[in-house]
Amino acid sequence: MILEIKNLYADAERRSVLKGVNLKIGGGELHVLMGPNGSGKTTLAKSIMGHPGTKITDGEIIADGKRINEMPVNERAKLGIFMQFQNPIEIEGLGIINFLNSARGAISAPKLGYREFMSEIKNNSESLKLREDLIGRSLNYGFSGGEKKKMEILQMSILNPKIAILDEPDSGLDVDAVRVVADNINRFREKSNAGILLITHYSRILNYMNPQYIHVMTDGRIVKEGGKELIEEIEREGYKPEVQ
Amino acid sequence: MYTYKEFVDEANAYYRSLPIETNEIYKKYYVNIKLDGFGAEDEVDINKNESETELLALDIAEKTKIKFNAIISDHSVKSFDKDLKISDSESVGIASLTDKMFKSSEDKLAAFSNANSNRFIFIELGDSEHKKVNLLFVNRCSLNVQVMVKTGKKSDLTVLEFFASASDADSLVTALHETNIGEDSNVEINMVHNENDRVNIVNLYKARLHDRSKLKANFVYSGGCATKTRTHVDSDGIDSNAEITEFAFGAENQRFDISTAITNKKRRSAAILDSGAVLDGSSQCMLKGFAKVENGTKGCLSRITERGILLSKDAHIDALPDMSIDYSDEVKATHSAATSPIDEDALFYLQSRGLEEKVAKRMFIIAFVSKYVSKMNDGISSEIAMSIILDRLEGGIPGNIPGITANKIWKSR
Repeated sequence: MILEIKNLYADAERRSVLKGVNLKIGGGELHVLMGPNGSGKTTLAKSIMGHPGTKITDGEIIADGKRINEMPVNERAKLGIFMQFQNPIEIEGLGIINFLNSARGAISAPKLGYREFMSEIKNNSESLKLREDLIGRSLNYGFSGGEKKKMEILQMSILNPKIAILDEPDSGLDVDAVRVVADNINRFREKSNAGILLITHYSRILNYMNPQYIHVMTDGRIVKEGGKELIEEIEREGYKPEVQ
Repeated sequence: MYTYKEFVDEANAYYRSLPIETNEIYKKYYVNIKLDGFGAEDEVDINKNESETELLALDIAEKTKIKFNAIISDHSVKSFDKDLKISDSESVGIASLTDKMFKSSEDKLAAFSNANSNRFIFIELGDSEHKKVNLLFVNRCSLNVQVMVKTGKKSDLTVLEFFASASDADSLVTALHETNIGEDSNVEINMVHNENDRVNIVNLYKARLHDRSKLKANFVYSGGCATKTRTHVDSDGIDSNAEITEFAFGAENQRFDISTAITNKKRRSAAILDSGAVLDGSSQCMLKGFAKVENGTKGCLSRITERGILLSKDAHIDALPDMSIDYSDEVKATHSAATSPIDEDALFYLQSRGLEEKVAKRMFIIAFVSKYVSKMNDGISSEIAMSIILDRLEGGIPGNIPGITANKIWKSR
């Protein structure tokens, strides 16, 4: 899938946040979006997924040549777009297995027998070093911050999207967990050839990954683009005044 | 004997004067339940319909796939359990039940129930006895029942009380319950009210726990046009543990007035109240939880949690937790309340995983409901309660009995 963001303007909470974003993500590509707090990174992710709290005022989001600006959220998921949440929602009473099974059915993922499905969950849980008992619990309920992030990556692996938008998969994780999450994202990318947009504040997770494109967002616009060398520059000098 | 008319004035006036009702927070929230005008003979010819009621009751038993120990209606009793004492008179009851918790001399609603009750069910367990009892109550006209439970020491008892209707006549159902739990005993009481939408329901429940005893009392209110409940549970034993769970599902114009008082009376006792409601249409629910921590209750736990979900703009929930704490040495006491429509971010989250809005909403509500229903350890009870709520979510009317497909329920008995 190719996801194209063309000159996107969007409001969130009655405030103009995105002010002309352009971005193109192809299959197998790893893009990293960095930028200071409040620059619009999460709003961009939410706009792509169709959050009702974000309102697109101009521009287009195009998936495989199809404009999806007005498309319902679940239809975007069915197209193959996945969003990993910065703050995943806790839903007490909703069993993870039931939820994942329903989600798989909804996006018309290849059908798996119960044993195969459970085996896939188990394999992914193991590689994420996610405690086995968590799978039998309610969705994210009572999970630590790190466990929630890992559960998001588990969902991505199970739902097998074509484009994954990962909103700070590394925040709140300890050093070891960052590496585990990075390894799993890499493995998923290799296996699926999905395009990934990874949003992060820190370069730490990127030490374990090999992104081709780095984008820096400030005040609702992508103001700088480059390769891995840009990460080092940001690490060294921060988001420079001219960038900010 | 009180007449209905005398009762309406006296009982409502009396209940308004009780401490819990004169509480500043609660007193303006009160459902006046219609308690008169249910003369059975005016509505239905009892004799003519006796066999029909029986058939309907048996049909409900078949649909729910529950093996009931007894089926009790307003004019017939079928018992399949020789150990169960069912009488039309209180005098044949538990001989040792001298310390009745509901005092007719003080409590007009109990007095009314006492005066009109024609079905008394007595469940008494001796020391180290274990029993499971499933009771089906079916009202065709007005049904007034009392269920008295008493256990010895180290006993284990599970009771399901399922209320249904076998006619669409305007009716009144009063159910008075007392549970007296002996030392080191465990009791689970599961009550599911699924009467039709022309029934007024009054549900009275009192329980007393002795040392190291445990009570799980789970109430599900789905049926009836107006429901008024008064629950009082005393954790009156050292290390006793009472968990009260209440859930109401309302639609159309259903009214619920759910008032529950929990009291910590002894050291290291626990009294926990979880109340929840999901309301659609223009239904209304008042969740009034009152916790009292008495003097000398070192190491006790008291907690009230009230949660509500509104599915329409005309539905209304008043969640009113309140506490009175007379002692503070190593006491944990908390209360909280929250009511809202379905969380927009939660819906977005579920939809982002491919689920349609309608499916996501249903999933969210079922998750909410299951928090309460899953408190029932007894599989039969939780299955029937969940089936009824799911049926209501699909637009089923109050009183409808959905078929249960889970064969395991039948086999588990």
